[in-house]
Amino acid sequence: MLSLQNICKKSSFDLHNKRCFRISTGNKSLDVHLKGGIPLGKLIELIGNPGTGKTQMCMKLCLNVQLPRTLGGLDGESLFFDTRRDFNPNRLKELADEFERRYSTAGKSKAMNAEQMLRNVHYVQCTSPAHLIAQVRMTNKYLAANPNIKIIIIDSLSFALRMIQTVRQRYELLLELYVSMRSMLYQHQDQWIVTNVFTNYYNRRSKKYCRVPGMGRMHSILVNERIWFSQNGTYYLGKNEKTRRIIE
Amino acid sequence: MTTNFLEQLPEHIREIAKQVNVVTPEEILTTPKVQFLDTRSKSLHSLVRICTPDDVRVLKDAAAKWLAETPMSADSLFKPLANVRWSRITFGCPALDRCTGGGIVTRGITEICGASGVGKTQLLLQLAVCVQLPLHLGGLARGVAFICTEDAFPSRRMLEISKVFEARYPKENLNFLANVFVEQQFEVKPLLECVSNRLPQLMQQHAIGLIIIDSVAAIFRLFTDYDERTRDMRRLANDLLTYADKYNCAVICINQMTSSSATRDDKPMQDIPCLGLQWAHLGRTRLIVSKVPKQHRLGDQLITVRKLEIMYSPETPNNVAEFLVTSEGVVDVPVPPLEPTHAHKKIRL
Repeated sequence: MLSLQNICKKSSFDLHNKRCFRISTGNKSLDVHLKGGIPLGKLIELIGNPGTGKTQMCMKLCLNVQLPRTLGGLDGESLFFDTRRDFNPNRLKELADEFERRYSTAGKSKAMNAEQMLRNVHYVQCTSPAHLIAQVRMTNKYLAANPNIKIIIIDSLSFALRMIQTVRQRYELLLELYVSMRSMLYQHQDQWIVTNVFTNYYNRRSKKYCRVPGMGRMHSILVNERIWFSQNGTYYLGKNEKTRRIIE
Repeated sequence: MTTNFLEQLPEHIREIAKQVNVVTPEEILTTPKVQFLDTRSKSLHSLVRICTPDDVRVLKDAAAKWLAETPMSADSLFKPLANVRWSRITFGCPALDRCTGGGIVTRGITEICGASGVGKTQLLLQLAVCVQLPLHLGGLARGVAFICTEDAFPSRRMLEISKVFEARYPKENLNFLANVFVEQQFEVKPLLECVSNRLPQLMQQHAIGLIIIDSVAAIFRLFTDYDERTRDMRRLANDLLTYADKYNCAVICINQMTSSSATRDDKPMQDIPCLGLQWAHLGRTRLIVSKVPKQHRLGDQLITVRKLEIMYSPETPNNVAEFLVTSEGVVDVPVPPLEPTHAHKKIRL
C-alpha cells in the first residue's frame, strides 16, 4: 500500500536548495538573465533567421561545457547532431585555440588544450529525418557508454524535418522525438539544445502572412526555453513574440 | 539490404511491418506509431495480430539500430579522409580568396546574390575554370555541371577566360572547355527532372566538382502558389545536397535581388535577395555581389569596381572584398604605387 510518506518526499524547500548546474553561454548579459547560464535537464531552443549566429553559439556551448565548474562549465563533453552541414571543424578549432589562449594565461590548475577540447566533441552527420530519428533513439545507449556527455545539440531540427510532406506526419514524428528526448532528460539530467527558424504563416483571420517560429504551436509549448537571435545581434528570451524580453 | 533487415526481426514484428507495408528501416522510422497501431483498415479475412505499443517500440528500435552510426570525435574530422569534405575551390583572384578564407567550400549550397549585370556569371565562369585546376593550385581536378535557366551559355567569354588560365598555368595542359557540361532548362518541372534523373548519371560517368544553377530566381520567381514553390525548392535543394554529400562537390545557386516591401518600422526600401525565407533556410553560405560607386582606370577605359560581401557563412566573418571584371577575367583591384609625399621629403632632410 502506498502511503503519503512515500509519494511526497521532496518539499519545494529541498528543490530550491538543490544546486542546479548551468552552462555559461559566453554572453554576459544573457548569462545574467538566465541566472548563470543554461540549466541542465531542459530542452532549450535557439531560434533565428539564417546568419544570426545560432550555429556559432552551438559550437561555443560545445566548448563552454568543457570548462571546469568554477568557470561556468560542467567539465563534460558534448554531442553534436549536424543536419544542416553547418558545422566546420576548422572553425571549431579556431574557437578552441582562442579558449586555450584565454584560459592558459589565467594560470588555472587544469590547462585547456585545444586538441583535447576537440576530442571531447562528438559529431554525427544526419542527412535525412529517418537518420536523425535513428540517432536520437540510439543516443540512450551512447550516453550509457559515455556518461560524461552533458549537452546534446541538434542543428537544426526544422531542417531535418523539412522534407516530410504532410503536416500530420511531421507533427507525429516531432512528438515521437520529444518522447525520446524527454526520457533521456529525466534519466541523464543533461541538456538538449535545438535550433529552429522562422516561417511565414498565413493567418486566416487577418488574411496576412506573419512571421512565426517554425514547427508549429505544439513545439513552442514543449520546449522549456527559447532564445531568439536577431540580425543586429540582440538576444531575446521568451516563448512568444509578444511576451519575449530583450536582453540588454 | 532491406531483406537482411527484415530477416533478423522476430516473426510477429515482421508481420506487423508487412501488414502496414512499411519494410525499409527509413520508412519504419518516419511512419508515425499510430499507423502501426491502427488495424481498423485491414480486411476481416486476413489474420491480424493485435499490435501493441511495445511491438512498435521494438520495431522502431531495431530500425534505429540498423541506421544509426557511432558519433566520431571532432578531432578525427581533421584526418585526410574526413577533412576532404571541407575542401575549397579557389576563385583565381587573391582578394576574393582572402575574403572567403580560401574560396568556395564543397559543403552545402552556396548562394551568390546580386542585381543584374553586376558580374555574377563572370565569377561563375572563372570558378568553372578554377575547379579543373589540380589540388595544389586550389582546384579539385574535376569538371563542372552548368545549368542555365535564363540566357544562353556565354561560350565565347568562357573561351576567353580559359585562354587566360592556359597562359597562367601552361604546364598543366588542361582542356578547360571539355570538362564543362552545359544544360539549358527554362521551366521548373524539366529542371527538377533533370536534377533528379540526368544529373546523377552525369556524376557517375564523369568526375564533377562543381554544380552551378544560373539562376534559381528566374525559375521560382513566377510561382503564385507559395506552398508548391516551397515544395519544389526543397526538393531541388535536397537533391543537390545529396549529390554534394555523395560526390563531395560544391553547389552554387545564383539568386537575384528584389526590393523589400515597406515594413512596420518604416524602414526605407532596401534590396534583399529574392525567394524569401524558405529559400534562405536551404542555403549554407550567402555571398552578395554589388557595384561600388567607384571607378578604376585601366588603359583608356573606366571600369566600375565590384564588391563581394559575405552575408553569412559558418566559417568566415562578414568580410568584404573588391574586384574588377576585365578581359583577364575576375581580378584584384590594382593598388596604385605609393608616390613620395612632401612629408617624406622633410624627414629625409
